[in-house]
Amino acid sequence: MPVHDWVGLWSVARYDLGLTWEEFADLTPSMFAALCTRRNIRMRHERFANALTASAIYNVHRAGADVPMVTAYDFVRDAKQSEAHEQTQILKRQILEAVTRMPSNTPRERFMTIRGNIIAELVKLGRTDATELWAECWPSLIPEGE
Amino acid sequence: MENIIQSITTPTFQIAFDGQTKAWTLCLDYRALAKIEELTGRDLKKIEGWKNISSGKEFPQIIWACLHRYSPAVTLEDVLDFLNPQAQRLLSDALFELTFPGLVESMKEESTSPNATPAVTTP
Repeated sequence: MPVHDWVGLWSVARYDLGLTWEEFADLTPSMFAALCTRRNIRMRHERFANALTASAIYNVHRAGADVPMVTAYDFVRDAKQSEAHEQTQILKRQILEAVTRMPSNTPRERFMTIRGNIIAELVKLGRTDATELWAECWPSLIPEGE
Repeated sequence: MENIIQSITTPTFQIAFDGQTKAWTLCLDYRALAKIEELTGRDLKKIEGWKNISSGKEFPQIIWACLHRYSPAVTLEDVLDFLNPQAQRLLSDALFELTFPGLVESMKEESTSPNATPAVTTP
């Protein structure tokens, strides 16, 4: 569950889950997480249903018989892909936090050191996309010439 | 005759005492979490909020907030009379498990796994 602040929790409870404030207050975090899991499954089903249409339209409008066909599953993440996506989101949040927690008068050189340390650490942990992850989070904090 | 069928799905646990004749039912719902935040300033929605909870002041307040739903008559004084520091670890673990079910287990597994999720340390 990505949200931890009250407003974020309330908005998910109200908008995504359709709960009243009383219903939300009676939930425990584990119950809330279980409802969020159900919501994610529903979203996956809806995405799949839409993907059926999208894949059908794509397949009948292919440029030629040699263009590969797609299936509805090509539009929907499986459990492994979802987990990888979630891990990437966690890393991005950590990268964002590593910079935002620094004082506003921190010199650029210090940020470059932080960047180098984080990328080195991620590479050491087996991430091959460490530089790209940093660039997506902080495009203004990239050394000149890169 | 009216038949009432009640289904309780809310995770709770009980503290039994006085030779099992009395029991308090604890529930750490969002109402209790808000109460705890108000009383102690701790945000127990987050894992880091569970660090170094003081046994003298904060923990009784946490337990008291958890009693609000099913045992509202219990006062903070009652909790202070009952609680002892030895019980804190046990209760704290039980409440943590209610709030983050399976997390302790998965953290143990993850720490021994070669594919553990990397955590970026503060530079």
